Amino acid sequence: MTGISIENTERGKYVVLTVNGPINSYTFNELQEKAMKYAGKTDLAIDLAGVSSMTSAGIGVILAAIEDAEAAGKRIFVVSPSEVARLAIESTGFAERFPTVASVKELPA
Amino acid sequence: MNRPKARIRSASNSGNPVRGLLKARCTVPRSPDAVMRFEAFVQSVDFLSERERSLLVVAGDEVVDNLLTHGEIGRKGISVLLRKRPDSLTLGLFVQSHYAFAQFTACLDETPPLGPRYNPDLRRWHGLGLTMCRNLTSSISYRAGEKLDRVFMTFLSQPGDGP
Repeated sequence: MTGISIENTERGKYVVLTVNGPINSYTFNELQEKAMKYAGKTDLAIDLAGVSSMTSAGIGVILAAIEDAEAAGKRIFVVSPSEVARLAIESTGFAERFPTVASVKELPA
Repeated sequence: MNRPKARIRSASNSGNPVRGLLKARCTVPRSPDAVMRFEAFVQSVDFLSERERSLLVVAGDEVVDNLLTHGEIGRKGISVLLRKRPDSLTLGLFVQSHYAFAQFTACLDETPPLGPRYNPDLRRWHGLGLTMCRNLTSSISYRAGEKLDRVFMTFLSQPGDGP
């Protein structure tokens, strides 16, 4: 049992990936697959409100998606990170690299 | 999933001369859900504040995750020890010694980590986990041993963290 689930929906110009459960070395492949599918090709939002834990494996996937999006001139946002996701992002020392909004309603049109 | 049982002990109630010392232990078995079992243990320890739980989940998961993926955890799994004092919280993780851990600690001694760096060819970040753990803790040490490898992380207490 991995415990992760990722749902993708569309909201305006954005594909929203809603992640629930833990993101670690055993589960990050699923997030990586979906993030790489959309990052840099369309505007992307990754909703982390339901993330129960996040290791550097997950942080690395999100950072790579940010690199791809920026290189392609597409927008990418982290949405409503849970407390542990927020702490994991802050612990990198470069939280400013993660464009973050409090909810999908705040995604720029 | 079976939640690992936390053995919790208040040293001040058990004749231990160290006042205000609280301890909890568990063993996380060698299995793919070891990270989740470690998290379940952290959630089950009642002397932790929510802030401390979050710190332990992020920093502890990182080490457990790396022990699982880079080293080999012996059949005894990972022994986890939490010690809470009025001024700090210490997490100790103990595993059967493995050459990969010894190589890792030797590397750290020779060339202190430079910080996270992106390898665009591999599309991978390196050194992120080390940086995250360093930033989350007041001290962290990795000690390779003949029988056991050990990681100790200390977190300074803040008002609201409780006894």
